[in-house]
Amino acid sequence: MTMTAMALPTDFAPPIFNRSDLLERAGGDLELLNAVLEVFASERPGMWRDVELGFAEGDVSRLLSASHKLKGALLNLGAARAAEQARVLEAACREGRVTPSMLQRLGAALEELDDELAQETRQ
Amino acid sequence: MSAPAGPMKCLIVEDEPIAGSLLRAMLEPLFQCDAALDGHAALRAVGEALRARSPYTLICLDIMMPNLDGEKALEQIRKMEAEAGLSAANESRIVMTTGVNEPKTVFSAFFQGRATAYLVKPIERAILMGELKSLGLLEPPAPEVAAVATETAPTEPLAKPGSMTP
Repeated sequence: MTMTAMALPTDFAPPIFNRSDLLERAGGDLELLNAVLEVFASERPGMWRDVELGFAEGDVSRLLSASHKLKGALLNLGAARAAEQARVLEAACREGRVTPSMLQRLGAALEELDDELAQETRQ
Repeated sequence: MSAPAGPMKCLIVEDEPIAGSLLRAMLEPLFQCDAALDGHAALRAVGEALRARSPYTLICLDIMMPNLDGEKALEQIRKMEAEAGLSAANESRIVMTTGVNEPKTVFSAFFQGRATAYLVKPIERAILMGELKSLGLLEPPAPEVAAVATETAPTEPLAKPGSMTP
């Protein structure tokens, strides 16, 4: 008998997209789930652009508002991993310690989410 | 001023598009829904509804919004209702919606601004429907009960702090 080493879970990162959670919150309504995904697909570019502009212009108030809105959308979508990065950015705005890496991590998390949602759409 | 009979109206005040679309989809089977993206737009919609003697039965009001936030909008809406002579029984049921990390603002809005209830996002259909049921909005009251309520309703806020998620 061959023993296969099993890696213990060391990464407790939240899920990229929790479809079952969204479906449950939508009362099992698949049509609503798909409608929400469509709304996110159409609104996501504008929400991210607001974040980028707030950062580029050094406008902390705009960046705070944009990251808060994006965080809310991601939480309501069930995209906890990207929402966490948006939360970090929002908190940093309140504390006056925003760094470029926070924006980069949020951007990367959104791209990861895009890939996951693209797979979701293909299924 | 009493509310006329007709389809129940709902105003969804939410600047975040996913929460707004979820709320709208869940409420549209029950209400004639309007939407506002910030507190100023909400006040305009409420003002028009009051002038048309067709106030909103339900207002879902996000707390953190640009321009005029939900807490200030709540105060203004209650003032507008009082100026319009709306009886306590016919005031809009105002459900404040908020993220999990903003409980302090919820309590402030709830007790000082006369919100009816509050919901913690992310939006969940079962919890929303439970809230509507507890507010008596899923099944309309019998006409004679509604008439008595209009005459004798207390002026205190319809506080219902049990819906807060710790």
